[in-house]
Amino acid sequence: MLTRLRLISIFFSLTYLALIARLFYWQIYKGMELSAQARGQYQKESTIETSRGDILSSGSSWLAASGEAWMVYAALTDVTDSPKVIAEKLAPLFVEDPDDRNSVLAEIDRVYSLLTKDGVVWISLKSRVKSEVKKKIEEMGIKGIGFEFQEKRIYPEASSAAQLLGFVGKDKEGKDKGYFGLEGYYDVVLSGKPGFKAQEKDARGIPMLFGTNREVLAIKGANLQTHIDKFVQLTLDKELAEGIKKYGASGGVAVVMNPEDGSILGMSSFPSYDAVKYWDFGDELFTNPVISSSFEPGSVFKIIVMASALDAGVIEPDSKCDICSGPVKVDSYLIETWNQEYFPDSSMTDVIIHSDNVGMVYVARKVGSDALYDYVKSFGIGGLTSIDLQGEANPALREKGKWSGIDLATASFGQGVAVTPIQLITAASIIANKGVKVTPQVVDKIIGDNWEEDIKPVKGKRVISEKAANQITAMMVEAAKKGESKWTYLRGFKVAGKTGTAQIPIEGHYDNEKTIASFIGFAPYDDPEFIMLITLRQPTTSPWASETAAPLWYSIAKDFFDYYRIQPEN
Amino acid sequence: MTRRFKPITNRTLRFSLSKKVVCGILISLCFIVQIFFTIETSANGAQIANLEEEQERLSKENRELEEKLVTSTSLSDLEKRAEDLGFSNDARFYYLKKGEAFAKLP
Repeated sequence: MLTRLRLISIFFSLTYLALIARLFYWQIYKGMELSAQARGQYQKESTIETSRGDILSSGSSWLAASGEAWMVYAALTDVTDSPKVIAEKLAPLFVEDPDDRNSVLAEIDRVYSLLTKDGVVWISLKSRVKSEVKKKIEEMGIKGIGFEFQEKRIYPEASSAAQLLGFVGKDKEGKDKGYFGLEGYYDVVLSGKPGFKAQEKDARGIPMLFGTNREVLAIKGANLQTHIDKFVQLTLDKELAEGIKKYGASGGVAVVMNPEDGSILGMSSFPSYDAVKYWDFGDELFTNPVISSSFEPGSVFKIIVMASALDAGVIEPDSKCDICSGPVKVDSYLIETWNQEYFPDSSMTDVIIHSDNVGMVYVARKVGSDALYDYVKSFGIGGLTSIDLQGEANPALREKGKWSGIDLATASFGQGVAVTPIQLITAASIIANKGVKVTPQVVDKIIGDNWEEDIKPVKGKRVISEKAANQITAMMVEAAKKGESKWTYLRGFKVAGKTGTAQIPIEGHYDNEKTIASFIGFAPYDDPEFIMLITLRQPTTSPWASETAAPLWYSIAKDFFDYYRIQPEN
Repeated sequence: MTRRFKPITNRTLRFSLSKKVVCGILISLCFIVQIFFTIETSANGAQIANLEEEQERLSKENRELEEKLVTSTSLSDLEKRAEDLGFSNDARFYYLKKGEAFAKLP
């Protein structure tokens, strides 16, 4: 009897211990995991996605906007049709041209290989398909095929201003991120902030009112209203592309700015890319040459050197050049004019009209290397312009005190000095703006849901006196009327301009064949509406700016005269 | 012989009955209120779910309409359409000199 009692006691004790051990296993050891599983059943947590802000033109129409796209996926465990049938149904909808048999066959192979992949239960079949395609697939009623929302970027003007706008790609975590141009510079502003929602739901997925509900609202990305004028932008795109073709150039840039407040009205460059399919293009096309490519400006730089000399008071417009009767020797180099024509006792105005290199050496010597360095720096050369675009480059300027005689001489006619197009147009806008510097700006306003931030123009310091600015403007007017590009001058219109043909430095010497042709000008010269820079890289019909960049400048300017209602003088 | 009856105190009986009834009523009321609120919260939850669905549908519709609006305001497309329809830029411009009287009343 006692033994039986003992056995029963032992049995109960062991059962009790087993129970304790089992409870310990479920409550303590597995407790966290089970608790998380239970929470997962009744608590739904989700990210509230927010849309990226739009980029608008000055007239509030879209340059870039957010649209709807879908990722098509296959939940392989739910798929009932054969992979081959599904691939044949989907492939024609995934290709750009369903009539292109080869691309459809290639797409069938691709989709089939994805659907028959081993060891996966879920797979993405195609990203960024349009809503119409989604609708067609839904109508097919293929089991196991689903869709996930994806935001896409729409560019209503196609590849226009692609390098100015930048593009939206993915970061390391697979989230949308803006790269280059405005998309890159204003990425944080445009992106907004996704929200978060945690809700307790019942078995049917209906929210429980007395459950724990937490919500952090999403903040929509702000819109950017730019100074970009669609007419100006599309005119630049169209005419620059035609100009490059006409003059056989390998590329080119065109920038239009309001010299009074620095607002960028248009910016175009070729070769370019399509931001919708940026992955099909090489990385070298993503950078905007207007802000990131440097070149030796050539004769357009003469206006900066001449303006400096006029402001320093070392010359007057009618001062005579006493070394202009022939080539001038500097150190061991001989400086000649571009056409080997010489004009003894030229006035400074004539030096600009004839784009006389020897005359410019005379001017630079009058200013002196240290003073010229200070002026060039004040004009913004050798410093960032602070334009609100990602990827601005700043070519180095030779240090002060290290300019030799030949450095000073060559700098006077724009050789040995590297600039970016945006630096050049910003420097020239100082002349158009009566001597006061402005910062180039693309964005005018940042517009949020219930707020707006007006980006005011940034006026800089006075670089040259108003008198000097007027004097160099008058010289540029004469250069436009009587210089080597006079044949293309639009008679009657108030244009101040200067051509520049720069040789391209290659491996320590200048290539005689390859040039960069530029024309910079503003109109009307007494109260400018716009300043425009045209640069053509390696034109083949003629190496000279007067025969390539200048006629292109006037061809575009003619449209702007009509658009801005600029009347001829008489 | 006089029979003596123990007086019945109605008070005690009334009190004990009403207590049970009150308890019963209260418990029933609690049940009814609980059921009512359960149904009400469940219905409200369903309403919230419907509203969320409606919000999602409207957002989607809004996105689609905005996309249509964006693509239809393309200036380059408009220019192309105008060209296809036979429109062209008028190259003739007439400049009027300021100060000169024109369309002047007699």
